[in-house]
Amino acid sequence: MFSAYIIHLLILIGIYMILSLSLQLAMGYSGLLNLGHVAFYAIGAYVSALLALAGVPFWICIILAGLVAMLFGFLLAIPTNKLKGDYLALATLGFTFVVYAVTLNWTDLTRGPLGLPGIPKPVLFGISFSDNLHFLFLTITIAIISYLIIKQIARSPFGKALQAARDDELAAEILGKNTFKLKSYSLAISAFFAGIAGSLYAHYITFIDPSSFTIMQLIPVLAIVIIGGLASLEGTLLAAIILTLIPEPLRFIGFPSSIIGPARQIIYALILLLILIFRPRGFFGKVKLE
Amino acid sequence: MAMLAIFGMALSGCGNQTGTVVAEPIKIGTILPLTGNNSYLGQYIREGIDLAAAKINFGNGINGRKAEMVYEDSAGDTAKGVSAYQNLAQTQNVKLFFSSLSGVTLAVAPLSEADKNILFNIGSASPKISSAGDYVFRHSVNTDEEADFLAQSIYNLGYKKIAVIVENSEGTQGPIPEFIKKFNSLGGEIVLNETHNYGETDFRTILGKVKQKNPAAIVDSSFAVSEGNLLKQAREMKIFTQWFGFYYSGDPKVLDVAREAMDGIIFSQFFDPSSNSSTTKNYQQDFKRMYNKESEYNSALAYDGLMMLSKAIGKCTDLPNDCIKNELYKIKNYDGATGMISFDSNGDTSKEIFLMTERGNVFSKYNK
Repeated sequence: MFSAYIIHLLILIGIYMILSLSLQLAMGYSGLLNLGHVAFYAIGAYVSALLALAGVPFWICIILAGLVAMLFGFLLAIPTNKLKGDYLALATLGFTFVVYAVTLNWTDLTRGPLGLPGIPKPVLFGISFSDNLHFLFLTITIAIISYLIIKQIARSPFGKALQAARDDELAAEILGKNTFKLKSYSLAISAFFAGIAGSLYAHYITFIDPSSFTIMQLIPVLAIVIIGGLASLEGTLLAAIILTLIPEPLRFIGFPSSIIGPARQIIYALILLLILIFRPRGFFGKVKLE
Repeated sequence: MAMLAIFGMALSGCGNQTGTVVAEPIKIGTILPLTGNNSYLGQYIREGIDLAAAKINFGNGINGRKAEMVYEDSAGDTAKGVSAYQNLAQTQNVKLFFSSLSGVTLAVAPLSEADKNILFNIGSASPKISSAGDYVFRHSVNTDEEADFLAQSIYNLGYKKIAVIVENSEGTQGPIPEFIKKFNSLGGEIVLNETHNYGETDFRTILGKVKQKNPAAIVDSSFAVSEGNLLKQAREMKIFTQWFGFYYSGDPKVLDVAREAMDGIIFSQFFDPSSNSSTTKNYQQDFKRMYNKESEYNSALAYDGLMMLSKAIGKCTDLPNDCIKNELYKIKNYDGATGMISFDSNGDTSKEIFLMTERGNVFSKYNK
């Protein structure tokens, strides 16, 4: 009875995990307040959907989705190299709007506001993932691989250098670290995983349009990273689960139909506020974002 | 913690409650944008559905069972729409659905099709919905038919050189390719085709270009607030060119924004709020009694949708969805508040379309 519903929620959790773990790499470990993350997610989704609709096999679609997003991660790193904090946030937010405008207006490629319906469900090595349970296994597998890779990166000398550059860029440079290289790699790797998450989203929901990738979709991901705690991967995983599940029990509270939507949003916001009041650094936060 | 407890309770049992033997209500899931940019649309639809439900339940219900509407908020987001659907279908055992907005409907349609659940769309324009599935129904106006009708009408009224202003959204872009094709094939000329994005409020640049081209008429396909602002700003810029619109112009929100700048507009519509048909008159009376205002087309569409669905359900005992689906396909010449409704093999309808105009805050049918 409940299985399809629970499976659906778990798939969403998996996609959010990949998306927020990768944002954690840029934000928590590298100190880049990156509001362009949802643009990489969009690029991944569109690349994968367009290729799949053209008949390209799924595994090529998803890898290319990651790689193209990664390429844009590099590109975004160049002009934003000298920016920090709020300025970086604004510049990357601008990138989100650029990608949104392109998906909306390049109608020959993306069908603009009409969106791309009928994106095929994945087929990998002869196994069809049209069944949601199979899709869940696929998502969880990719989420676990992403977690392990990002954890490895965070632990590696490269990860340590990232954190050093985050805490004191000048000191890191004095020690001979090329901070531009560090930051652009971090942004590109982060973008790669966002692209993968976008691909999974597109193939799961089977319909994407530009409005699926606006600033409104960035907010939950940002909330997961902040509530999970900066530079904490375990916190991110926990927050992805909790934040995706919080709205669900609210469905069972019988509000009158005239206020059902706003009432649920108010309660959701209150819960987030309470979490941050009692745990200002999130669940397991290690650093504070400046 | 309390929330988690509720969630746990929900997991353990609510879905399997079969209730008492006497007249268990028929649950109908309704996935609407209740918050966010399109929440006004969700409100229109909710009003129509609530009225229909009240009417059904005031009588004998559906074969003695009450219609219980279960509302879910999609906020206009496809993933949230899918979550809402999965929740209703899996935990609350809902088998009949209403939805609004093309994106949400197209994302939910493959699921409802696989579950063999009826998905009744209210007022979305995407042509893809026609082929979205056997269990997917829609009784709004056919986008291409409306485009052809409006192009022909404008040409017949003697306007040969026109400017087209389009909002870059699914619903408003929908009829435009067919409209342009038809108008060109009649021998008309489109001197300007301008697009603006959702949420913009300043249209003076676009209107400036229109003024330069000096077309015989302006055709606008925008949602209510944008169209209202366009009309108002055109008047401020002393553009008195004849204004044409698609059915969105019948939204009272356009009038709220534009006020007297809307006077003289001509637009295509399928719902005449002051129609002489007795069904529409009764509907308007009931609507006024319940909400103390006149109904616009979205509420009327939603009302017709639930009335038709309840009629189809009424012919099927025990609610097998295949039976309801077949009964819906059998509906021919249903006398609804929005006119005669018959479903074709795609679950679409073809509606009578006519021209309307507005003058002195009153909408009426346009007669040359």
